[in-house]
Amino acid sequence: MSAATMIAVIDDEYALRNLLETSLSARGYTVLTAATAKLGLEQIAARQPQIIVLDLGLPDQDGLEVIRSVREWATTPIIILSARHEEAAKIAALDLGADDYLTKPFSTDELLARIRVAERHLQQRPANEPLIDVGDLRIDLANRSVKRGAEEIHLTPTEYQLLRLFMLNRGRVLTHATLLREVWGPGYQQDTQLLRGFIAQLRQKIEPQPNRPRFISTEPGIGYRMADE
Amino acid sequence: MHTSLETLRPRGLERVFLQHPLARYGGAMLIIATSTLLAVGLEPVLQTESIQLFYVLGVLLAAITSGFIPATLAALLSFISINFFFTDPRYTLFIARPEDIPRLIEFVIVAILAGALASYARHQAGQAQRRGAQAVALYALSQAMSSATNQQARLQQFVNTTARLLDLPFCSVQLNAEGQQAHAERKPRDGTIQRLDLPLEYANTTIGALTVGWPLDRRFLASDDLYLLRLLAAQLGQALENARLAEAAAQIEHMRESDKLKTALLSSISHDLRTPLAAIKGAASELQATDVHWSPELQQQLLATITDQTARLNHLVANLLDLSRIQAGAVKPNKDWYSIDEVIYHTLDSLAPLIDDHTIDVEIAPDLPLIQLDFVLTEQVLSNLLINALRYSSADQPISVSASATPQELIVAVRDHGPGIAASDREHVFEPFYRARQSADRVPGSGVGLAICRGFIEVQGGRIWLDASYTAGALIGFALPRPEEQQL
Repeated sequence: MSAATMIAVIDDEYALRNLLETSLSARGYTVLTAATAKLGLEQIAARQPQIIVLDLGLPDQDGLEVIRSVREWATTPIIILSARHEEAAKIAALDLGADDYLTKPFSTDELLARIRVAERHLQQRPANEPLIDVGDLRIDLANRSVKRGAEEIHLTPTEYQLLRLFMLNRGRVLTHATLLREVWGPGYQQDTQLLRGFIAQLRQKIEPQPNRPRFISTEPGIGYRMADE
Repeated sequence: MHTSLETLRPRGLERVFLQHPLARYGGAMLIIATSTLLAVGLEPVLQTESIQLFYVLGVLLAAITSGFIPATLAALLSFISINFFFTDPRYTLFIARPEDIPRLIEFVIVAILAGALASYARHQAGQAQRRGAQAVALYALSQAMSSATNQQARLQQFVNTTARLLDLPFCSVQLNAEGQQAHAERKPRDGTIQRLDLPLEYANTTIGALTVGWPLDRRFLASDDLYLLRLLAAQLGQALENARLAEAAAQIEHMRESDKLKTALLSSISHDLRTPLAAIKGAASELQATDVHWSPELQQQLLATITDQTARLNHLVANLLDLSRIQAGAVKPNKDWYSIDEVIYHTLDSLAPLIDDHTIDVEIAPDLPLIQLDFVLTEQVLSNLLINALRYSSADQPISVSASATPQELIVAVRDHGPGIAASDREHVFEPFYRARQSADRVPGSGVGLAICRGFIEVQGGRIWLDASYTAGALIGFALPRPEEQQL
């Protein structure tokens, strides 16, 4: 890494902002903080951080508005922080272009893991990477083949498309709507029953224990996430 | 109940009591004409006094059927007839014998007095009959309105019942306060219909307006029906006022209940909030202390205390928030298709640190269908049930979670081999802040877990229960409805 990754933390709670600044600085990140949406947007425009950590509940403006403003001109990864039971707000944020979410209270480890995923997605270019590994699961994008260990796994074209999307976004949450849109097309975004069926089939084929998935985990009410490593 | 006031009126009396003026006066004349014909025919075998009795009988009949004035008319006609047909010289109105004059005057007085008495009796009978009909009508209305559960239904019952009872072509009511209104219409009848507006009052305050279509050709005395209409309107005013008072009383009761709840909440959770806070504060201040050098192991122990107690505090606060969301009716299930084993294993994974060296057996029936549920809510229910089971079980008492399906429902049950729940506590365990007496002192808990379970299951259209037939420990089951297309 040429220079330290710069992270903007926008949260109105002083204690949390302070804690995140301390923990992230201690791990070598440059941290910008802002207590309001307005100040946060100014900081983002002026200093262009690589990653944004955004609390959805801000005093002056809805966090969703911040995502919308940023997405007008930047693809900077956005990790949102929100309370339990705010699935609707989380989904809205993810659909507006946020990259991931954390439910409060969270541990620093969880946040760091999300930040690492975001950093990797900043660097990688999918075309340069025909082989993707997660644990002992390997997808070969050039040959459209999937292996677990030495064993070849046979997938239907739809299952393959689904797995490919997961592998390209490993470590990252994918909403039901995103999965349905990317794999089946725009007309299928509400058909979660269809998605359930394919996820169950895919887990049967790739997971050592399909009902205790190690690769594709469920994000309750939101979607699914492929393990990171 | 489809009675109208017409059917409530006794038919026999109705026919005897003539109503129309033409019928009443015509009837009186007809009766006297008949009396005259009979008297003329029977004269050869009758004495003069019997002939007069014939006419008195006629006057009485006229009084009963037509009332006082037609009876008086009948008495005068009788006097003329007796004078004309039976008093010498006959077929003139001239009276030859002076002794006939007091006889005829006596007759007129007796006839008029008898007529007066009979018509009074007629009036009384009619009055009693009308009061009876009004009582029946008021009863019918109060019956109809008492079945209504809200204001709108009450108004609708009122207009329907009033229109039916009085056989009105239309009846509508409008309240001033909330602008609520109701309207009823019946098949149009022939004849002129007048629109009639009456104020709806309670305790000298106008609370709305009543509008009815009033047929002008009523068979019964219109003033009586109008009186009845006013009675019905007064009853509506009273009923609305009663409903308002009942609502106010219920609100006060609700406030009293929630006050009781708040007191219970404070006493129950203050302990549960303070304990972890005290542990966290203690551990943190120890770590800050400069006079002691903590070994790395002891530091780790203090930090573990902070992490564990924070998790406990977080769980408690989350439960309290959930309970208040349930009580505020703010929980909106976000249902989606899931397989129940996904929920079960996800819950077990997130509880892994708590499960520790306990054994939890999972028994999932094969080929369970996908079901629509709110994953987050259902996971929390299962999580609360398992946390309870873990709390009340030692490591050698296995816990089991099972899932099965009936054609209508998907059923999940959590069994433990702990002390179970005493019979006296069973009906209360799902109430907020209720803690089984036997355990309240020994096992930590705030008594909200099962209340949340019930709230989260019911909001998804399911049900939750305690199985009293299971005696080896506690068994709590919940069922979620299967979609209709799966129910064969």
